Amino acid sequence: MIEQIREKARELLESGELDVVIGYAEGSDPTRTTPIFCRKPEDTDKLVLDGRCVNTLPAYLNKRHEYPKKGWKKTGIIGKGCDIRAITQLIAENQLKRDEVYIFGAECEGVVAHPEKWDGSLHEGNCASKCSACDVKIPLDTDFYPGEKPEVDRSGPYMVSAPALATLVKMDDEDRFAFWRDDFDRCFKCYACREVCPHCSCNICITDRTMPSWVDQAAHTKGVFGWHLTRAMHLVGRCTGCGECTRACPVNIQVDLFNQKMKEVIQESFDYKSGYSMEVKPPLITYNTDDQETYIR
Amino acid sequence: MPNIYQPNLMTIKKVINETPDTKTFHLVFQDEELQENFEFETGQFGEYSCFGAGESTFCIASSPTRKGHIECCFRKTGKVTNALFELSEGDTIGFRGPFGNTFPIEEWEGKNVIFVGGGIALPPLRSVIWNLLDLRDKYKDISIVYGARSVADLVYKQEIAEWEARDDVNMVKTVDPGGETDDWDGYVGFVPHILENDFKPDPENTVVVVCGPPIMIKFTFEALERLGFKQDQLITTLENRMKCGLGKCGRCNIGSTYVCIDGPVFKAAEIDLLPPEY
Amino acid sequence: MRTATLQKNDLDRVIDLLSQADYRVIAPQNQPRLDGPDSIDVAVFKEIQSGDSHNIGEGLSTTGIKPFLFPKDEPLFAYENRGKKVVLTEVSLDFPKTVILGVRPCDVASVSSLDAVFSDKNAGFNDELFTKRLEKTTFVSYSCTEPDVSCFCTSVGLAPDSDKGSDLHMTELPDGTLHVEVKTKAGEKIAAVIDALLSGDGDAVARQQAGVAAAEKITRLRDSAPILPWLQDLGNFGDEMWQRLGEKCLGCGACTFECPTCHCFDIVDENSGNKGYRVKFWDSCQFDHFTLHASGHNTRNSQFERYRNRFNCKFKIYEDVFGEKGCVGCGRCIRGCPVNLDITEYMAEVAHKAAIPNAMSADPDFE
Repeated sequence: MIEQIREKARELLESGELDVVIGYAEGSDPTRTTPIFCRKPEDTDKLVLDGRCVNTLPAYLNKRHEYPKKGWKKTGIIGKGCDIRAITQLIAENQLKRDEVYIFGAECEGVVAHPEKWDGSLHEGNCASKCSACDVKIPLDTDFYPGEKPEVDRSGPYMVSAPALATLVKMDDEDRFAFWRDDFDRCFKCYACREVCPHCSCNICITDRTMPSWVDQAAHTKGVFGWHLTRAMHLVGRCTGCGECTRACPVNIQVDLFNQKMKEVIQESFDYKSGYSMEVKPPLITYNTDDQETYIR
Repeated sequence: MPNIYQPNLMTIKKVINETPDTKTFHLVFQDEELQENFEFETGQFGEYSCFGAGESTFCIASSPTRKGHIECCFRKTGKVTNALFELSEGDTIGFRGPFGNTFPIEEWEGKNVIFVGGGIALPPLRSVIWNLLDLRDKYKDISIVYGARSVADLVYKQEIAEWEARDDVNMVKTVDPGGETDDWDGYVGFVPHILENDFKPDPENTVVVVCGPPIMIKFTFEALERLGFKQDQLITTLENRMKCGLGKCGRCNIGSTYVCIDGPVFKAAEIDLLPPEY
Repeated sequence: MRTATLQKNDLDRVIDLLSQADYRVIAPQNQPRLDGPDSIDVAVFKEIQSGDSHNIGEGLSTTGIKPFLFPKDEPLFAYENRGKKVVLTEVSLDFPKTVILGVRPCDVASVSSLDAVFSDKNAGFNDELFTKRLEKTTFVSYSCTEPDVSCFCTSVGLAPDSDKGSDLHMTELPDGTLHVEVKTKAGEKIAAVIDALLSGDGDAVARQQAGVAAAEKITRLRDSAPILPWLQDLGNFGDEMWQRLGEKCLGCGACTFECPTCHCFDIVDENSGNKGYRVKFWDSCQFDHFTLHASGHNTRNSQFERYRNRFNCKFKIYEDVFGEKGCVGCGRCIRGCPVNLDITEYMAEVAHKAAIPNAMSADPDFE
């Protein structure tokens, strides 16, 4: 599978059709892979694709990062199904044009929840929970797919998958608040959750704004709650559920639980699944005269 | 003793509106003993607080030879400077300092000194200009080349007139093309250009002190080097972003050099040894 | 100074005795987590009471002891605006007598790096919020016997059994006992408190062997000797490696906040009505606005430049300014990096370049 992708990537770099191919290479220890930017055809020999490829590479396509500013005409990117969902959403939000990217996709068997859990293979005990209810193992939209791409019915609802969410929802308000307060005590606001997110697109994040200051910048209880709740709200109807914010958190705060909960809410209220259409806009950034709420009409 | 981050309180004795977005404050310490004993040297800076908004870094714009109060001059750009801008006479601000190194004015004795400044960068020069003018006999020719984007952006207009009127100061003023008014009697052109093509200073026994945005410093140094100036004749101040002023918060460093401790005053030869992060 | 043997299962008694002797006891503790495959074990240093769980001697904690000397946020003073007047109220510098138990050698060695910045050794300015905490803190360190794949302390002049910065050092021996070494007067006080649990004079040979055995398990080996001279050559500041290795960096601050020696901070006023606190809190040189001037000029404008600064800070700036390395090889920046940016790859690359004269050959294909 990866051999075919390597071959195609090499061909497109050689022909000059692509300026770069963003993919995964072996990392600095056997449990990890790392993002690689292939510019030369021979760089494609380094590409790998397996259960350790956790990064959501479309984060690099986000205009906030430096890559899109390089002036490249066309970027090749290797995507798992969930990554391609992120690309789809970026296009739906006018953050990216479809013809700026060339998508290499392949069937995904899931990824490890965290490199720390990699023991040489992917299994029930270490596979990320997002993979358990995944309906894009055969990815949606690809420019290159090794072999024949089977048709998949994705008309069903997006299945929220983290078992931890059910545990949290069952708690009463006080316990749930205590849970987050204790977990957030570890947060030092490194913003790894923000930086790995393909959808955090603001040029200047609201937490970095000082005139006025909307969110306390310090990592005390108020500042940390302020950040995570604001972040969760800003991603409502936009988060495509890659779970990188949780995976990237250096102190294991499962921040994507907020996003997963909001995903349920947005699905029930608007029948909207983010990342499945390049045309349909997220409900909270559009105005609809048929809205069920009278105050907005 | 309060910790090193706690400022001393000062009262704003006077506010001067320099330009539509620039003000000068005259400040005295509320603690009389401190007011009596406070000393600094020209080139040093302080951390100025508006309580509720935060702290901002500016030079001390007055000369150490003029006792009684210190002055600062700032343009409103960020959160703190906007808040300071709203303060009026009698209000309280915080001050920590003086910090940093100083202009080596003893080294310049017996020499011609040229001050080159752009826009809001006149305040650091103003301190050393008055310092030298108050010790006038020790120095030969003193020249001031000052430019701003427009006539409205010139700070210290009254003092510029005062320097022009003196026969022991050579005052050259310029505004960027398009920034002139009908009654403008100075040059029109960018500072490095006016310096190189109109003022044309002689490098012999002369030092040049340049203050301005990084891009202006770069072009001015290049112009002066074309006129025959050597690196050890050129001095500037660097204004990297700072928070603590104490060498601890970690953001003003240029390689191993901390602008707050080792600067803000640098010779061109010293800057040449730094990585290009200023 | 005194050496002795302590039974490992007496560590709970150690905590009891120290608590009874009015020490605030800080020790690594596993944090509760939600069920499910997405969570991983996290251990952090916490204040613990007699009977609380701890995981002293079990791996390296996710974060270090930095928050107990340099909290992630702390008030510097309180202010109150009263018309034209302002009233300032000092914060207390009276910190509790504290013992940090089970600190790994890398973490305890990092204290001297922080002290170099915050104490008056640095330009004469003494940050008493740090130094007064340090005065009240005793470090009981604990040798590593099972370093993991990201550990590289032996590449920065330390070892899994280093006692640099320690007041009382413990090493777990293969027979399950702890070899105890008193290193300072503060350590003697601890030894006096736990005297009833100490016996004999320990087994110095077994302790030394344990250190050697642990060091042999470290797989990330780098030669850090060529790094300083290579970095001091200003020509290498523009080397192609900075951009090539650093381009994948996404610009979060995980490496800096997990780092035991990173010390950058910001200061803001947190206002509520007419009063509030001026607060000092952790900041990161990896953030884009860290060096952004009010004018819009940014002295470190690209992400790779920010990581170049971080690497230089550890291996050059600290050496130039304080005469020691700013890296203790704990490996947290490697474990915590979302994109596997690995400081030891920079170390290897520099050593490689330093070995080849005039190696600064810019890659013409690299943009």
